[in-house]
Amino acid sequence: MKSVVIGIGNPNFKDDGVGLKIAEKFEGIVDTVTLLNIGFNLIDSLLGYDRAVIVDGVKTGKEPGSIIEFDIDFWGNVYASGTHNFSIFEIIRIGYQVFPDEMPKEIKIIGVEVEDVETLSKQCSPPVESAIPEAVSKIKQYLGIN
Amino acid sequence: MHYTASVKAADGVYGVEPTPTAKKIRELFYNAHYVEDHTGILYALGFPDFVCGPTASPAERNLVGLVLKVGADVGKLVLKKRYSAVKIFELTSGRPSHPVAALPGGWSKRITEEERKEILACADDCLELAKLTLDVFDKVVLQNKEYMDLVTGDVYKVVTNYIGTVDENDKTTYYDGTQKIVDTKGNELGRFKGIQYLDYIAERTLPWTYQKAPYLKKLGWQGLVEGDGTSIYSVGPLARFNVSSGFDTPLAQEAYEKMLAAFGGKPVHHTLAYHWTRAIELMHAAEKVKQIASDESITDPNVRQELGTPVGEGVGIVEAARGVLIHHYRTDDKGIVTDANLIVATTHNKGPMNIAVQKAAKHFIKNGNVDEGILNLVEIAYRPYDLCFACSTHTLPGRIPVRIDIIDHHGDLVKSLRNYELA
Repeated sequence: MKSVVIGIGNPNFKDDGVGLKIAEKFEGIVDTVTLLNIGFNLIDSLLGYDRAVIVDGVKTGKEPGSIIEFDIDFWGNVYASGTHNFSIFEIIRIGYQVFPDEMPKEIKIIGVEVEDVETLSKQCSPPVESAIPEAVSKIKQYLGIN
Repeated sequence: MHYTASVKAADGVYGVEPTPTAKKIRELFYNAHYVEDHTGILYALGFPDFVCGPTASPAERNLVGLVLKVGADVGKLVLKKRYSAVKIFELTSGRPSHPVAALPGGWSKRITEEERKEILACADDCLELAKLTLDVFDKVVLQNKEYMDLVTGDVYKVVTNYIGTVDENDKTTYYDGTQKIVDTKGNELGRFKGIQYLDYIAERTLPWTYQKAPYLKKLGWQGLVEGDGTSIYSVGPLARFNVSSGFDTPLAQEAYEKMLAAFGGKPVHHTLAYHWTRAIELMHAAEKVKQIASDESITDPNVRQELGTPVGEGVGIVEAARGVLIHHYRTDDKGIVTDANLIVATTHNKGPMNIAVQKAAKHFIKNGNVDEGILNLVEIAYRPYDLCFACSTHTLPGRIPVRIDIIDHHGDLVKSLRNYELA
């Protein structure tokens, strides 16, 4: 199966870079893509793969460093956005609507609960940094990588 | 957009002008980005209000709803053609997003003849996308009386001054030019370039917000008020329409004249017309991409100036897709930034957006009746400005939380509405 790991975030805003750090662990193992923001570029990155893992920082109120797996049918927070930002879930849905044959058959979304995404730093906060190995392990397990 | 404003400010810090070829590549890159950016804003945020209906539920009034209405084939065509703009972005800047080619006084990524031909092929896709977009806008909005009443009505109308960038022929331009100011009647109030912005724009700090409120310095601070004599101004596609004499490319000019005739003159203060001007600019940017890439001299290898000692200060101004963007840096003698000021489109538009929201709320809230539909109708009021809060975190789920508190004339809270769940 042709797989891709997509990390999303800003490497300069502390925990916001966690998705990128996790994706970088898969360089040379499977295809990887890093995105600093979400738009149609997410669809560009998904087309042509059988399986994809998207990993990003999330803020759901859980303990920082918690790992949360999202179903791509997650729709609870999706509204027609008031600004020029996009929702991952909305973008994936549009991808399936428009490119049903080219989108991955399986997409898993891994979120790592963040603590601080406002301080200028390339270093994640300790609980988020320590969650990286577990997130990597979960993704490896999912992709069947030893 | 910030990337280009920043490199122009860096040019100033080193006191250099980019080589003619570097300037052409930057402009090509910038116009390709316009195609991609305007496409995203129109199809994801502008068109759903019209195609799905302004009062449709949020679950329908979005990208997916749009595709269901216009058909997956149209959606596929739009996304495929849009990717050609991304490809140009990659060919000119080294990466499909977050480019790596800017240098003070130049550009590190040269264009080969083979790449130029590839860009020309992509430019044709951009032109097709622009034609399709104007066609969609025509069919969905212009031919629908109900929507045109909304576009030309007074609910979504904010009367302000305008600032936009023009070339030496007073035509709209994005990468470089002169910033022109017109008043609420369209009379020219002034023009500035670079550091002269300080003579025309002042920023006021308000006690209730961390965002500054810019205003026209020569008119003085008069508060967030609209109408003749106001000192606030708007930027963005509609502002560019209002300050310029049109476009320097034929198809965009044709579309400009059609809009001008529909409104019977300028300036146009109807905020939903921002979407119309955005669609016209998509055509203009596509035509510019084709025009610049047709110039064989763009493959010239001379893409970088020699740098001397930093002069210590630089101002870079571009027309970002959503309006005038100013980067102003001061540096030490090694070129390390010691002071920076950025005025972005969303900041320029602070006053107009606040007034737009207030007007919509006053119009739609009657006799104490408030409901969830108000969230939609208020979003429609500020969405045309394409405000840019998105870059602050990039965390899931990627939407802006909006809360509206309804306060009665005693100052008591009547109702609170929000588009998010509390954790």
